[in-house]
Amino acid sequence: MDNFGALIILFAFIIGISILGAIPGLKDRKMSAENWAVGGRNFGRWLNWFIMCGEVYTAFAFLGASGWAYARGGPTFYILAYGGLAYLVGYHVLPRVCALGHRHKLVTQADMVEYLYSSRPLGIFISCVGVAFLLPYLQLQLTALGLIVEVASLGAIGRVQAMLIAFVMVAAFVFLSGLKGVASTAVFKDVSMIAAMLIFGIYLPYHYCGGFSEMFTAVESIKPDFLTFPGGTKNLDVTWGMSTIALTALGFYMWPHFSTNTFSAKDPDVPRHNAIYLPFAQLALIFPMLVGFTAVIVYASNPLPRTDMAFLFLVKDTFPTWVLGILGGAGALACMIPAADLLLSTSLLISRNIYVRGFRHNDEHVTPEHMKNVARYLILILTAVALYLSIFHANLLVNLLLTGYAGVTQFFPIIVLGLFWKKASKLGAVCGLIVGEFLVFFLILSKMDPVALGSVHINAGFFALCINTLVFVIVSLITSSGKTKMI
Amino acid sequence: MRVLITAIPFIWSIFCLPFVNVAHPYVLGLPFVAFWELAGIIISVIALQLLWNVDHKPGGIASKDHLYMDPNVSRDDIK
Repeated sequence: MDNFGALIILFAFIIGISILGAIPGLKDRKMSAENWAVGGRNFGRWLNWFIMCGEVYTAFAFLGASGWAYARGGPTFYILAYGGLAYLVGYHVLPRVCALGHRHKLVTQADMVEYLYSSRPLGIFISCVGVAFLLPYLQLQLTALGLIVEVASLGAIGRVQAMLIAFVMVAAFVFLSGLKGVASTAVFKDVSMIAAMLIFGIYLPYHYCGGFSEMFTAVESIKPDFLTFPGGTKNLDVTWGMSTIALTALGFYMWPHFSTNTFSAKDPDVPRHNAIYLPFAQLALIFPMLVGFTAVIVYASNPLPRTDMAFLFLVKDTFPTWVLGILGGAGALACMIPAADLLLSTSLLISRNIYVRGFRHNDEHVTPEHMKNVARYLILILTAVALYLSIFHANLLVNLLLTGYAGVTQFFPIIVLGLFWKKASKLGAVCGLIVGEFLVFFLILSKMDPVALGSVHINAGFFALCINTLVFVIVSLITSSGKTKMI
Repeated sequence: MRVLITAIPFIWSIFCLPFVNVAHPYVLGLPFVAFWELAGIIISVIALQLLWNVDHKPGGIASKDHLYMDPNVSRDDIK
């Protein structure tokens, strides 16, 4: 039973974080709707920083960055570039979002769009599109958690059991505590993730190669030109890198859950402060990449069947099982806490913007308390749906996931121009969004991503965003009604 | 001023990429392109701190935050 230690550590992480998340809800049984949904709008600088930071360290940062480095090489460095730029965008946009949230008691991204353009149908449309992109992202966290726990427990806990145990607990603490549960767990999760990345990211290259430059020299001897764009790919060239950095920097804060997180800040200086200090967390993303590049050398003669398992397999083959348990525990948290935030945001979008604004025709008799209860029970339903899809139809939402980042970035003109450009109009917003989303789905699903322009390639989402913005501006300039309120 | 400060990290990380897409020389043990993008994060931090300083001068954007948050103040009043 050599995996007993790993199992104990894994369960300690999963159960411990769930108890930590449930505490705010257990202490305040009659938590108000605003307290539950947006933390009472009084989160200070560092609490909000940990929530935002928690969204950087998801399953992708943990498995994706090392997997990309192992399989693709140089193009992985786009991940380093977009973070700092995304926070610059956030510095300018989020203080206005926060102020608007306080001013008009907004809770979701769709609330904000509905207010800006004085259009309930547009708010409902935005919430439907947002849910369509959030659900696959939620399922991704579930699937990644199942894989991590299965590998970290050396197969003692199956993928399905791991998903069931962890996500029932996530649903329970979000049900009880709302955003305060996410906040209280984010601190522990971020610290454990950064520590795990630093320790393994420094130790493994030194253990196998004697240092970073020795490791990269060895990689170049096996795979020349692997460390620059396009690396181990044919079409992820420099122009793809430039357009992808731009797309991800502009789209980072367009995910619907970031709006809800921003509404929780106590004043606009909180997102400004966080923009300055969040890039320091981004620096740590170099370390999973170093692990991925080390895996290129270690598995040179015996390639891994799943590239995104490079980090876990390298640790499994290097350390005793209890160390794998610690890494698996940190990895499980990297899936659970972002999933909790995604669950909360999705339930709020459906309960407020689709159920109340849509099905109940904005019925004024619906109290905030009733809306909170609808959102809470939706969390249980959404968890069940995500679990069902992950277990029985794992590929059903793959197309939506493939288009996820490119799809949500199409919200950029609607939100940013709606906040800062007084000529932005409702019709421009609708036309731009429809054109942008159509192009994203058409280009990505017909395997035309990246888009080839002569001998260079650009990210399909960025191409769609350019056309979307152009349509938005032209239609807004020629329409005289339905202009944005701005504040 | 704010536009210029914001533009510098974008120029560093995106528009310089074609000129720094090389592995050598290694800097801090990293391929040059990785070091460049990592340095871009520090450039962003410096730019963000400069923006903070500009916005928190008397009469800067941050001084109007309370007006933006007050539902009784109109857009024209803020100007």
